[in-house]
Amino acid sequence: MNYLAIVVNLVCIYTVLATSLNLIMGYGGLFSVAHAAFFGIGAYVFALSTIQLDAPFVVALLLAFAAAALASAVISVPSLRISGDYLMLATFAIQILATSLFLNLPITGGPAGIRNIPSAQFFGFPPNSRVGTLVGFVAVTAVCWYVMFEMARSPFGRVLKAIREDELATATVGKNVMWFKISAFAAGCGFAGIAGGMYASLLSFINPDSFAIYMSFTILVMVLLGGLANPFGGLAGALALTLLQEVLRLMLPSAVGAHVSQVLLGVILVAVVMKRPQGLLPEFASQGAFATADTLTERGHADTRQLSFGRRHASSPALLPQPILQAKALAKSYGGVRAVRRFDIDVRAGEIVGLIGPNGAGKTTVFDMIAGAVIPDGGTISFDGKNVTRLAIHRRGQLGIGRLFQDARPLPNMTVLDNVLMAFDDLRREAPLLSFLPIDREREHQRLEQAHDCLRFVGLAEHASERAGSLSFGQQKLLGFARLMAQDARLWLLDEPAAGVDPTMREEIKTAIARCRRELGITVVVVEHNMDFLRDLADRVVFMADGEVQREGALAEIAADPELSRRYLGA
Amino acid sequence: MVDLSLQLLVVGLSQAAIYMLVATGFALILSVSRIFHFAHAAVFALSGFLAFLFAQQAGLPFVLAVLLSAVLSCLVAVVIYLQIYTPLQQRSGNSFIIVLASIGLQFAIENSLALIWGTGGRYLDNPMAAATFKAGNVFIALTDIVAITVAVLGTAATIAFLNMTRLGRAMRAYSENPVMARVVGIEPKLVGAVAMAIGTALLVPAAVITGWYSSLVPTMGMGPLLYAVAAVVVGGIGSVKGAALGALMLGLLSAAISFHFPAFWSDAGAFLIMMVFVIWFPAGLFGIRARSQAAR
Repeated sequence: MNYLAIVVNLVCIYTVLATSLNLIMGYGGLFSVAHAAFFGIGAYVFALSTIQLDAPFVVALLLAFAAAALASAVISVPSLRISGDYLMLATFAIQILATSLFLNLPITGGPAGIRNIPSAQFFGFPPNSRVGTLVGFVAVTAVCWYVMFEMARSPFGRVLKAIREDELATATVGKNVMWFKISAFAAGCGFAGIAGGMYASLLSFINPDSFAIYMSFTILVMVLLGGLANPFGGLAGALALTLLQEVLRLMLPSAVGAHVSQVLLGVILVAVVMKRPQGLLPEFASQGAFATADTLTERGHADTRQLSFGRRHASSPALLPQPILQAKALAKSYGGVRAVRRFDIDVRAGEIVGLIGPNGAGKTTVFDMIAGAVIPDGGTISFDGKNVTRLAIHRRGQLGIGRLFQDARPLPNMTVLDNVLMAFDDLRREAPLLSFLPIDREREHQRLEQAHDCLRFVGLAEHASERAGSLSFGQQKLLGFARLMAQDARLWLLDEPAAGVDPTMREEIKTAIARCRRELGITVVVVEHNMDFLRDLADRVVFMADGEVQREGALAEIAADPELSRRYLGA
Repeated sequence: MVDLSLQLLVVGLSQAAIYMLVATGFALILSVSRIFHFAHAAVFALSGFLAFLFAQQAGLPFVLAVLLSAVLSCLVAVVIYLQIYTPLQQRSGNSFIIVLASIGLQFAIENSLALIWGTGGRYLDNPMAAATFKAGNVFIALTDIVAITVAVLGTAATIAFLNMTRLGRAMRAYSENPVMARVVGIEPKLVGAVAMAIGTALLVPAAVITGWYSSLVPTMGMGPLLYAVAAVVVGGIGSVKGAALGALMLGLLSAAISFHFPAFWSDAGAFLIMMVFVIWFPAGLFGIRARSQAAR
């Protein structure tokens, strides 16, 4: 009985650990091999605060959470500027440094660690009561798991997943990618700190060995085995691994059993990676976890219906005379190549301006500069009277600059509906500290309706619960329009919306653009090679070549210019 | 004081020699195949135990034992590359999946070694154990000289191979531009397997020297591997020369630190430097910058 209780307690600790790493890795897409370091920070802070401050169990756990979260935030502010392999390497260094600190700081007791950590007392159970500890651990684990579960499926979790899928696309929609990453990292590490506190309390003795890089690897195995980005993945992985270890420990002599279980752990990890990379429990495509499909079927087709919501931000009635976008003398060089020499443009609200020119003229670089993906070497950009030349990419998204990338950049492993929902900017539960609370549901419901409206508007209503990656290229572009609507973008930068799609879809896309302008009053700048596409769509065109604007005017005028045709279109 | 510094230099260099050999191989595999081969640590231990098996348990001549160990270790590494890493790389470009597989292999191999040879430590007989020179007040063991010489020669030979042979140049071409290299007919699996074999071959002398200095334990590879990772970052991802020099510098640094501070601090300096490089100078000292900027 005692033995079983300890095993259950261990499963609890591992569940919190694996679920918290899953939040960072599965949802946030941040690969960390430093999780054991934060587990350790929590354990030491718990031990010291119970011994030296006489802190009660729950208070010590909260301190452990705070310390681990704070440490992770301090480290992540510089580290999360980098990504991919470099982030993994940074967490690698953090892990080794943490081990080194645990071994050396006078306060941690060096290699010997800390002994005689008082055991916790729960709900009137006597101290050291097995049942009491069991009940307490299960309760703490349930609370931690539930908070993380809610975070992962809240709007906060949705944006995290979006960042994992496509960082640039998510920033362009107006999300502060850095902030979301730091929050996810801090939250995950904080919960690892809680697991550390539970561990210290259970064993009443800790030393640096338990928090070395091997522990980080073990947690990684649990997450992967259980299932990345599945809310139950951490639990499944923790359960499977603990059972394996304990069964082998019972069957074999202890030293042999430990090694055999580690060998099996390694073999299982390789096998999972090779044969079943999604783990025991695969990820749900839908963010809500409980699919929205049933609410979908009762909606009829209402393709021609007017959008049911007005603008959420200051409305800009169509065709006001003042310019919404002004660029002056923009220039950008890459190394020695002057991609854009001098670019000027004035776009009035409600206009559709075509930006045309030969390949290599600098059109995409111009878009990059307006949307904020690239900071110009010189010149100014103002949007709606505000100088945005050096503004961060997500700030421009929030102001209302929207962009459809040439390759559409959908979030392939999320549902079509979630692709739209992530673009709304006013959901309270996008804030990590509010994300797990039962608030703001009415507005979320409203936004859900609006997301369906956006999808209906572009004719994707019946695809709402499909993976965005399974749509055709043309449909992905239409989805991009729906995302721009949800973002409430007033200026749409469309990079070759008609390229790579069939003629029927091309017409559909063209109709959608015209309709969005008519009914939403948006302003459009569209890069396009296909003159037919622009013919009765663009109010005027800007012809760009060699990094400079060559001519502006009606499309017919420019297309008829023999000089331009000869020099740039090779006719 | 001068004597002390010189003695420190000898101790540091002999430690750095091992780091250099491990780091050169790790960097070669990373730059050619883009694989973080963490199981390098386990293969390192494996090669040491194989040398022990042939030389002491089977009683074969020392040179033959080392050669056999090298052949078998390389075989294991190449099989890992062809049977596990290559299929994973073909399936997804995500390098983390391969890191995870590599960690799994690390667990499996290391603990298998523990099951076979135990964790108590096995000693390799050092034929040169007694030979020590004294220069002034500085002691130099013949083993130190051999270790440093082997490390320098091994690294130099690897770099020379990359620069002077046709196959080596093909490997560099593939490392710098895989798509282009494939277009001109370089077979990715071949260059990857050769990198794996050379990287593993460099481990064998390092493992034997470790066995001479201290003892063979299954976890013996982890320390040098950690330094190899740090060295690769400091030297710049993609540069074999950079990794070798990085390992040399970090090895000396850690010896210097452990001389003045309690021994456990010795790692802190190296990994603090790694941290600074990875965040603020990701291109390292000799890195190819453009390659790894791409996120995920």
